[in-house]
Amino acid sequence: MKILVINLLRLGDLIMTTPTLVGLKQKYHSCEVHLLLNQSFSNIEPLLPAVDQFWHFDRELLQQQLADPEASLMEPFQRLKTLVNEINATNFDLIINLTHNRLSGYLMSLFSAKEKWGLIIDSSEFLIQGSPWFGYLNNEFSSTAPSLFHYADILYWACQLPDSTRRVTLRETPRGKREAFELLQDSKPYIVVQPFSNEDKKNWQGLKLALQIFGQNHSEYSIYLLGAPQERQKILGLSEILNQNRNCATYYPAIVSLEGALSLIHKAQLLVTMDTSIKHLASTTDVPILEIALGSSNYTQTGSYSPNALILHPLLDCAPCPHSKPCPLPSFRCGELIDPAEVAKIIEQLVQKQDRRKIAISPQSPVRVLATHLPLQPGGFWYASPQPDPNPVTTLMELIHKTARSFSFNAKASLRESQKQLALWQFGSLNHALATTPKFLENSKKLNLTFPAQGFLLATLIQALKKLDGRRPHSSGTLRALIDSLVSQWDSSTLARYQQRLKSWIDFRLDPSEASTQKLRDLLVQMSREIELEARLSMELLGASEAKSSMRPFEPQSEIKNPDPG
Amino acid sequence: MHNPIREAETWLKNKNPPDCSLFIVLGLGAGYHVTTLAQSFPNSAIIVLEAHTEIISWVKANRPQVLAQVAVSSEPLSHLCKLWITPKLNQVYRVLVHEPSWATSPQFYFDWYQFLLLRNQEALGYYLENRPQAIKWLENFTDSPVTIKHLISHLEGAPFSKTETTLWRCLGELVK
Repeated sequence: MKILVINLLRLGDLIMTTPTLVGLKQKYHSCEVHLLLNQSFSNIEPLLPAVDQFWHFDRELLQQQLADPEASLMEPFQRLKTLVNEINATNFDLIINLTHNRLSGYLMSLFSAKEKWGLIIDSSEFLIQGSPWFGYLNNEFSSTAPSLFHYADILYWACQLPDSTRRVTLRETPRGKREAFELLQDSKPYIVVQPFSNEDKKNWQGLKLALQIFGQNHSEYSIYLLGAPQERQKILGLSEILNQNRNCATYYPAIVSLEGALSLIHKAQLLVTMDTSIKHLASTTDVPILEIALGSSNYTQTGSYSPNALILHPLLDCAPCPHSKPCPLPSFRCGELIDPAEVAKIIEQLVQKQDRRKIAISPQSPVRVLATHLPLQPGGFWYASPQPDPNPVTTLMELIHKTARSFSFNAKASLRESQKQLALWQFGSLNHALATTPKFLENSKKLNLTFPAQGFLLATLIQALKKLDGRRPHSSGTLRALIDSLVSQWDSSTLARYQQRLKSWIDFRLDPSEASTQKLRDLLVQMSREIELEARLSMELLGASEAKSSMRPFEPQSEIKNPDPG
Repeated sequence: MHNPIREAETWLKNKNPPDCSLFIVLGLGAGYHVTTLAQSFPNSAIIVLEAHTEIISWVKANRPQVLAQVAVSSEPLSHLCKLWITPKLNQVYRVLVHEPSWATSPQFYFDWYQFLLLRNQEALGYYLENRPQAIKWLENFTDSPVTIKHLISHLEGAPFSKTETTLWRCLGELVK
């Protein structure tokens, strides 16, 4: 079997494709995986696992020829035609478009294969083939809106891969190891810093001061300032300024290839980075990452896919801003909100291996600290939780919505039956209004006929949380009320099924401490994931046949009588 | 001291062409640049258009190895020539100008250059040959030169096949 994966985005996006590439190789054991990528990012190739052959889309050359009045219009045309013909001559069984832009859609309609997944634009008509996750990627994944799911998870689910733990996978190369070895100047523990990104508005002006503050107190560390060859002058200038102060950490410029950067990061104590491909590179390691998400950086879509990252994100109405537009403000306000002294303190806590969950900044700060979590069990997904959590119930509700949504999309991918799809979709929606419409009633009945246990559980859980969400404060009592509300709505068979879990909830005499709230939240999150897993297992058993209802149908009476204007 | 080989190498270095299956060189001169090009791209075909038959004869007599590697024509741009070369353009090709030759016969080379770059109405017309609706559609391009944006904006009703239209649309995405 031959599979072609198309990813015509940037370096970071390619790195986030690796869980999918590895997953494809695992699912289709003897398959050949080919990857079509932009020629200008071919330097990633030695690091990518699971790819048997690379194909190059030479975007820069084509653009150059198109824009050059001295070049033939036929040259880029024939060049592109040749690429299409060569790909078609390879006779792929499956072509997967993981790029959500028009260019890739047009290319897909030119490519031939037994099966094609993803966006296809055929005669100006937009088609989405394969899993509904491709629909999510193309319709709901805009540059500035928060996304429920991480890009890497969406790609993975879109390819209908076995739901298991996954992470970014890159391989170190001998060349990279040699480069890193030659670069290391002393035997001190070291931090790697990527000070510059590809956009001015994603850079943080306070970084220099934060590094100075940290360095003054920690001469036992070396700090490597990472940069690509084209950033050499900026990196040299920065290291010169930082090294002016004696008796502090030593700052070394580190102009290395991508392979060298990966090997350098592997042995670091910490990576401090803006929104760059380097954070994705580091996600393959267990090295802690401090990501400063400014400007157009949308951490909900492409935050560090790492089990060990903290993300700093300013709370501003205009953040994240669109990629292609310059900042309209006289200065980069989002960067100014971050206090260099606080960042220096976080760096210190991270290199001293303090528990990541305890690292936070003042709740009054206009900056949010988020901790990343990888999918650790089937049904799981990447998410970033705020620290300290200002509203645990809201966070929990978000997580349950995510679970429900991923459940519904995956269910659609498995079943492909429009009525069931519609019914399941509604339960995953964040839109309160949906729950008050006649359509909701109709769909909830459909859901109960098909997946009674799961539909019922998810619906009651979401509704109970919704009701409680408006109340303040979110005390332990509120959380207990939530549990009571759930228990009172579930019938005996449901209670029996979840008896052990419920017992632990009920026995859990809540006190207002942070630890107890955290514990309860963890339990609820686990519960919601279990529901999803069960639902999926049930569906596999059911196939496309009708399920017989073993529970009373759920009617959301209170929602209908007292519509929530929300 | 004049070193024609080094000069030819400098010429090629300045042109810095990407790999192509066909190079069309405007101007033969003494042929050193053509030899350098052939050595650098051994898998590519080369066509040389030279305005002066005497130059071709001189090269044939004095440096026959040059002509062994390439196809040479001294025909000015005519209907017959267009018919001869148009099928050969159905591959990735690059036009390279040999400036000293251009200076000897600017009109000859300019006509060919415009035609090969497909930047004017006439060249488009030859490319489209006898396709239905081509004549009417070509009226959109009376003002040369033809640019990709110009072409994309008139794709509706263009005498291209579905595949060709989609290829142009792909290229149009690259200049947005």
